[in-house]
Amino acid sequence: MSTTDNPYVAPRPDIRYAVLGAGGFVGAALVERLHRAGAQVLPLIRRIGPGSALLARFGLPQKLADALDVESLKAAFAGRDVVFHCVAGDRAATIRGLENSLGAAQAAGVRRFVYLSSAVVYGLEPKAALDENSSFDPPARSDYARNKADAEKIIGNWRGGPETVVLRPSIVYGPRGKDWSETPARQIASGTGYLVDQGRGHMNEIHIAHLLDAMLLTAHHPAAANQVYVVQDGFGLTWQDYYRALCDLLGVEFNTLAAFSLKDVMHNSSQLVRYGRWANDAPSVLRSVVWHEPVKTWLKQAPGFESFRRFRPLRPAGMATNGNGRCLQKIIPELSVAQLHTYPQPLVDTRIRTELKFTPRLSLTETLEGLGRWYRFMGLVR
Amino acid sequence: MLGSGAAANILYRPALREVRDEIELVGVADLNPASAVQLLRDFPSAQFFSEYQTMLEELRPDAVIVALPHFLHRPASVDAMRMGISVFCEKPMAITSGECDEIETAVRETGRVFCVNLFRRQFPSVQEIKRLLEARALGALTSFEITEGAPYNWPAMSFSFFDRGISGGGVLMDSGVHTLDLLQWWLGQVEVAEFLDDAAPDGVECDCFAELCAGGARGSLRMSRSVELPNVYRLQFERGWIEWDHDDGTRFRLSSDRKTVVEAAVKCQARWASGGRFTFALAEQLRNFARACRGQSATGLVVASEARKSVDIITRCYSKRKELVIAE
Repeated sequence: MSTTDNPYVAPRPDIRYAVLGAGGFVGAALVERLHRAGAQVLPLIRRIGPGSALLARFGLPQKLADALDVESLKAAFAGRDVVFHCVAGDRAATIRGLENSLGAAQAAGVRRFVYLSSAVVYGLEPKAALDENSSFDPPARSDYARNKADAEKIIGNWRGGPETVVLRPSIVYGPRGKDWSETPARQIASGTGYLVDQGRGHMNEIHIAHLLDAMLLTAHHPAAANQVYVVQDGFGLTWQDYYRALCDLLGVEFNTLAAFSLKDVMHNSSQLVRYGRWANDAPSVLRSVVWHEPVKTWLKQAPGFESFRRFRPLRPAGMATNGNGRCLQKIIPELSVAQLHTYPQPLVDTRIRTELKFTPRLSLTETLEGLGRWYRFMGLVR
Repeated sequence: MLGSGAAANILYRPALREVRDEIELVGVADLNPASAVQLLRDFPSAQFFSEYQTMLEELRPDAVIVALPHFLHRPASVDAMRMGISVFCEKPMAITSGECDEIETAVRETGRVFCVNLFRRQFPSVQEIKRLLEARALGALTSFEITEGAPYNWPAMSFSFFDRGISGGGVLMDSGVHTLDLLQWWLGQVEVAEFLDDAAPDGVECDCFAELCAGGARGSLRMSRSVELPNVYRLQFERGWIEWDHDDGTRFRLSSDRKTVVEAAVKCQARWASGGRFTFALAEQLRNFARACRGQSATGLVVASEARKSVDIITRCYSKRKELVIAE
């Protein structure tokens, strides 16, 4: 059975939905899906902003609701059967916002609460393939990962209604997706695209349409109550596969992408090297104020200064060469992206596929065609 | 001042401070008193009213600035002119061609001054490009491509921008008014071959695309409130091209042989190259408007017959609307 045949995926006219975080990529797409299907959906946003413009396409009343304001949530959830929680934000919004949302949903008599978590809770260097039972290992330096992991503890311990569902996607891509569809495409189109360690890592991607299918499926399916699901497309892409496809869409030669090694990126991301880079790059006036002789003298005597010298970058920070040895413009790879490009393990989403009959309905070609349309609109296609 | 929302506070308040030697702000009308606090602090002699009709009747000002939600531009402008009051209207002039007809009728019958804030015409770069076009310096126009877009970030105080009945449309009715005004000012009559947007019938478009004909050539317009676009106006000619980065007050690029690129910078006051150019452009228009109200000669005003042209193009676009599919 494909997802389109799965009766639990279709939006239902008898259910009143609320989408918290409706101004974001996933939230706005979910509102669009529900509205186009004729469902009763209430988009909830924290403030009038870019998301409002997207939601305004449907002539739906948008309601202001702040995840940190429990009274505004109670009012927003009143009379709603299903709440989708797609809030992104800082620790307060993630942790206290979730507690408030669950409490408000309980008070309002919401039947099911679908929480959009992330596979980042497993960390960036898992040792084995990942499923719902894998242990959490959020990296200490990632606030986002730690916040998501802590939020999951809250929802995992929640009792007394509503029924909860937790979804753990990894890389969500598709039209209007900033992090994994717009940003890499802009980098590739502008000559600053890069891959780390040939992008050999598992991408564990899920197209936005499939994520929406999974959200609706778990909102409706009786067996999904109080369950957790890992979810992904199942195309088995590596980052190299994905970047190669993006290059094809954009009319850019794949071998013009800059190549970095994870080792170099980690080295250049160390605090000592960053400090040295700042000292080299800072405007001379500022440097003259801070980087004066007494500081230099003190630093030279400080423990670890020798390490600093030893770990200076071998080539100027941010410079890379393409396959022909041509020096490219300044590129500073992000450590978090580098670790994703080398992500060592696949997500295993057997559970949602067997228990709920989740099956992605679009082919890889179809998802890429949609991206191509968006890139053409953006003027990125050569 | 009719309306004290984001446009009044962000655009008009600093411009009015610049022209206070020529223009006295005597009253502010808005449903929301809190939104007028800054204006009233800057202009302490101005009185606040919650109804604009009451303000017009009690104060009988020489002129009004209409900075109300779009759907009120026509009734407020017509009401004011019928009371013998001249009008400086924020863009768009109105939300349909039919409403523009009513304003033009009021202008003819009352003889009042009416003009619209279309500030880009003030930019030296834009004026220089117009001169090049009029001189056919690069030969005939062969095509054009205009892109303008960024994630929506106007600090709106309400959802009125997103209500079709109030705003009259989305990105095209908003920043598109400036874009199309410039296009028709440069190239003359603009015909709409095709128009696509992403709005449902009751909604307002976030992204749109139009195939247009102007200046004897065919071209495209893409606008967005969701994503950053190149924000370049590119005009292709028989012998070269011109590129203008949208809202650059002084500079543009051109090529007269399709090989070498000239970075052109217009010699003008330094303010046109600064971040304050928008305030400067608006202040210049307000000064000229005040002169026109006094019966003195004034240049650079965009009067009703000119300002309506962009609204007419938008009306034609919406009448030809097809669905623009981007998502999923």
